[in-house]
Amino acid sequence: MQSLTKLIKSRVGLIALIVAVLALWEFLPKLGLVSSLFVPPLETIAKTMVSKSVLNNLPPTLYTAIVGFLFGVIGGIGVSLLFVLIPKLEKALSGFLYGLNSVPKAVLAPIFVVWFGFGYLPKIVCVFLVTFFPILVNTVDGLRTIDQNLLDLAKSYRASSLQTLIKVRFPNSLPYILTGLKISTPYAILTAMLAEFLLGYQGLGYMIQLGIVIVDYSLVLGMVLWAAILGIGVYLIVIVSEKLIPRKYKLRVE
Amino acid sequence: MAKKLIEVKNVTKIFSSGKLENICAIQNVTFDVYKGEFLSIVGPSGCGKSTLLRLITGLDTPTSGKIIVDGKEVLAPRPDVAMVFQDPTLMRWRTVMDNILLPIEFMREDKKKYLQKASSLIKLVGLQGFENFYPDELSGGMKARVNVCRGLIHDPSTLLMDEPFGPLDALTRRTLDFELMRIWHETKKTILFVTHDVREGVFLGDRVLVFTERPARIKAMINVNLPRPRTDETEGNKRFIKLEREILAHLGVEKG
Repeated sequence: MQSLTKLIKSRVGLIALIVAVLALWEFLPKLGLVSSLFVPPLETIAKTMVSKSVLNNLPPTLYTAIVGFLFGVIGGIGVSLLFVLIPKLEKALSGFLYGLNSVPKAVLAPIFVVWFGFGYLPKIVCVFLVTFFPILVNTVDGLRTIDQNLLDLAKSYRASSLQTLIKVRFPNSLPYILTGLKISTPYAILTAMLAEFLLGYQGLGYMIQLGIVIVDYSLVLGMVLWAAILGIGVYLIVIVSEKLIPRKYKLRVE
Repeated sequence: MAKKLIEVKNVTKIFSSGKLENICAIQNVTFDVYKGEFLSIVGPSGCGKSTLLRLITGLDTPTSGKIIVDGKEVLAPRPDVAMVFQDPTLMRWRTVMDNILLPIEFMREDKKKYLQKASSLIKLVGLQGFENFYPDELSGGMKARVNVCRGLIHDPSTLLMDEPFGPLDALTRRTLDFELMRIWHETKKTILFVTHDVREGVFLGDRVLVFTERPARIKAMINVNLPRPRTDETEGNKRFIKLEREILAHLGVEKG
């Protein structure tokens, strides 16, 4: 309890700012000082955010984000292990992969619809791609950033590449993978919503599109706020998970 | 007559680096090591002593010449020769026990068979009770001890030690020197011990191999001929002082 009070005291400025913004948001539209059409009062937005139709669209977004994310993590780690084990493979593929990463998912989404049809799959593929690359890059880094002495030690006992990978490289890479996770989780949520925005028919992203079309900006802004809440929530999950990892696997011990 | 375990014949090692000149680390070095001997190797910093050890271990190959260990030429790392590196480089995610057992895992043998051995090695170096500690919970001296245990776990006939106590303070080093000699007496291994500390080299060794600066060539091979076991009194021995002076003179350092 003491630390919570301390926390609040240290962030007095920030809290004051947030309260002020929320207050302005609530009262300026209601007083007519700001167009309540395009900036609905906070109360209206809050009501929309917890309305049944919106809450029904929460699970699809979460589902898309989580499934795409999991495949992205598994794929990213898997490919990084292969790259380190078979350097020729990395040389052959990395150019293509980094090129693919440069293409905005917004451009790829309609193509995926043509390939994968409507439904969850094209959206999941988008989320997969944004998760895959940060995980891949960070994991390869972690697998390779090793004290040469450790590698010499393994070599002096005639360890195979596979043994070195499993016993030396992989445990070493865990903190790096964690960094990759921290980077990619917010993007997973955002990309799920972006794909829904572009491809439609369900999910929070679709609600944004709907809100624009029917000119209901409490819906549009409500979904934006949901995106923020989900993003923060997911980040907190990663932070908490980090605390649960045994100390021995971390690079820095704080 | 003692048997030759290691024969280094006309070994030269040249590193071609990306920069302009090639670096000749070792030039035409020839010497033998006898089975069961404790050979100290001293020389200026950076002269190539570590490189030599790496060649004998098989981590690198000579540019010319060859190295024979136990009758077989060294072309790759082999199980009967273990290297104790200067930096212990323990795996931070493994306990002391698991770090010591690492070579067994690499050699694909059953760890359970070596638990007893690991425990007795831990006891031998005075680390009982620390089996489940992690490297970041250990002092430098403790890590060096774990390093030695790791080198001994699979019972190699030959131990190559590259300034294993280098970064430690003098007191810890002295303690570990005595411990190492005790281990050597009990296990009768052949040990090559690289050190920059001439006193330590004379104190520990049967012979002392003195190298020049880079490129390393043999300046002298000196028979220590002091009684064993070596004790605190050894360093006061007239011959000890004479040997130390002689070697320092070879290295170009005058002692006041």
